Amino acid sequence: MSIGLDELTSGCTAEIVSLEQNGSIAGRLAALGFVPGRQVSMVQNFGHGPLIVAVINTRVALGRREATSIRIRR
Amino acid sequence: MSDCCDTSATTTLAEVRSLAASNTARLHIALAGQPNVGKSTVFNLLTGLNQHVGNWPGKTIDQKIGVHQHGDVTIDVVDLPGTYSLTANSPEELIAREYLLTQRPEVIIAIVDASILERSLYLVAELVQLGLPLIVGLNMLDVARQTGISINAETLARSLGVPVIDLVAAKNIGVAELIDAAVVMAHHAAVPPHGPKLKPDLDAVLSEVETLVASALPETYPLAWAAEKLLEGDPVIAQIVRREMMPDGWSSLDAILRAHSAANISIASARYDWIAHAIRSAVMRRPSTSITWTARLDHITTHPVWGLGVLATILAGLFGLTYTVGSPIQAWLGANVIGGLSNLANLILATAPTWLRGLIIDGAIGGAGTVLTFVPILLIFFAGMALLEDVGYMARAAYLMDSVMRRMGLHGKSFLPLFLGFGCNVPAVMGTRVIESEKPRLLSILIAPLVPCTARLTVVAFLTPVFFGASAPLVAFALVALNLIVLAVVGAIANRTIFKSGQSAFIMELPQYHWPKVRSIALIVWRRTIGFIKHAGTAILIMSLIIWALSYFPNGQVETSWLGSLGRGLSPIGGLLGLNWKLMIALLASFVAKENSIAILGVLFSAAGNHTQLAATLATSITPIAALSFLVVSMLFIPCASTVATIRHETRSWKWTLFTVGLLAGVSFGVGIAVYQIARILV
Repeated sequence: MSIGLDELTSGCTAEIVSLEQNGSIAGRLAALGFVPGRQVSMVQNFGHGPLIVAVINTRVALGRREATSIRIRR
Repeated sequence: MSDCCDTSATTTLAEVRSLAASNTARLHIALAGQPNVGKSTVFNLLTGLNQHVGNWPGKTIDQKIGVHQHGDVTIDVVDLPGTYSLTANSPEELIAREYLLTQRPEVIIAIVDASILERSLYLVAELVQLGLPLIVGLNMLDVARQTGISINAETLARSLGVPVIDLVAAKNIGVAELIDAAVVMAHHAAVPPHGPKLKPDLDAVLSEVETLVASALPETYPLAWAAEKLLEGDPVIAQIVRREMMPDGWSSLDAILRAHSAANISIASARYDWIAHAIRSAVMRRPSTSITWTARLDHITTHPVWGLGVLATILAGLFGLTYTVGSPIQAWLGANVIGGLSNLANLILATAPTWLRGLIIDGAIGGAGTVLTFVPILLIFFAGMALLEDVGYMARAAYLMDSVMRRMGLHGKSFLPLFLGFGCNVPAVMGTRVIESEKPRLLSILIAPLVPCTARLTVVAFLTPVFFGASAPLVAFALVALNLIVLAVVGAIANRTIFKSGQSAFIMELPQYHWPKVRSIALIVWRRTIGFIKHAGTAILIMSLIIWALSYFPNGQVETSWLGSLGRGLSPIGGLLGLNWKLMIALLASFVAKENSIAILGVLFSAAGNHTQLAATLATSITPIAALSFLVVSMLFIPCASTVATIRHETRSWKWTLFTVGLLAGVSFGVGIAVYQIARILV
């Protein structure tokens, strides 16, 4: 059972299962370290607007649509 | 300015290359790296003031080339744009890889950030496949140490198969060793061993692709690399091979690529696996419980309430500095330097013909000379922007403003360039390149001129005290607010009507905060300021002289001059706006450069170069309501000639440029008429 990264609450960590987006957006996300098997932790997520996640020690701001396309497992 | 309008860089690069060919003691090195890894710091340390900033051919991205003297070896250093990977996701990535493949530097120096080693080695995982000698500069070791990471460079070098040099570029540690190693590398010309291996099933597909495209690739493209890029969905290489291939060859390739459309994720994973393997024995991580400075600061700066407070404080600080430091210096320069020059010219030219005296004193000194007095104000803006960018704050501002920007069909990244517009609209329009998608980018360009630039703010700062006394700051604030409201309304309407657009992707790294690097900031400020001075000495000077000539000839009287006739011709619109012909002319003259309207008012009211006298004359001859109307229209009016030229350059479309100009002319007259007519009823 996977959920979107946008559903992860601040302070929680999860594992990436897959990327739903195709093409260049997925490519850009993957280059930043959003690849299956990788741990991500939510730094800031207010349930609306862009969110901030930490992946391989880097903070990345994502729009909600991009976050939804990253499927995770808690 | 110079780093945006200068197109001579291509020739300079060609010259550099031909020199390199004729001189054996000359080397050619390219600096590569992801954004925010300190690549530019290394470049600045190596080249100092021996650098030239122009544009990449046909692009609007900075091309930085410089010369470093290493003993008797002269080294040409090229600072490639910062990129996360080498797939054609952005113009920067395309430029970086095209440069490496076609120009084939003797050595690539890849700068990586030791504190985020895994992520920054991603680019190295791609660079090792290009078949070019490579060295890794392991930068920000001090930051890494503070967060409990220690890296054994020798072990890392062994597992990567390329030399690794320790660096703390911000403190100029290790840069000499890095360049030594590069020179040694250039003599050996050792190519790194093969990089990441794909999973067996994908590897088989890769071989298939290689066989299909082997004869369709440009000579400079390594086969395995290009095939992998095709599997990653690279649109540019696909286009190249499609042109070269037989139709049936292309259709079988296309079928393979379609069947493996998610291969880019697997390939990225393979690169990260390769990196994980390479760093396993080289990196020691001491468990660190202390919260980093970045985390602590972000707690405030990205907070929805405190963060906006911080942003507002920074903006207010910049404006405060402009008004308390920049404006007085500007006024002093105007009164003493420009005034003194006018007096001097008067003495020297005492026996010269009247028209020549007018041309020099009113045209050149009063026009272009006055523009130069804006340098202190621009300095404050340039320095402020460079500082915020350098310490890593800009990305936070973009994150905070994303929700607001989204309502106008833009996203957080639009905030940065629009914010630059407060300094000058030219870098604002150019800065829109950070937005990848076409529609939000065009929309940002459309509304960028509505951000009141320093030049317009100076007109406001000069005119508001003349007419509104103690309420001047309030009126100035209202004028800026009006511009931003109009910007939001125009943006929202254009987004729903012209663009009917969806939203674009928002993916942005929030880099770690760093202490400001004074040297880097000083270099940027110096470059931009010199660029502005050159601009003032050329384009603005010529236009000042032309406008002066229009206001003087045919018979030496401004009232009956050519410009006077044009201003009178526009009197029907002027009447609705409450502007007499002199004010209409000053408004038209602001097309040349926004700050020109003061210079032209000086010419028209016979007080050129003397601000005190001009203020007194204006106060007695124009009503405050007319002045308000003039200020409103000036603030919203069509952008200056430099900005229009930049819009044309960035959009590559005259149609779009003229549309922008027409729209802004309409909006400014419409709002101006509304403000004037309402003010007349109220007062």
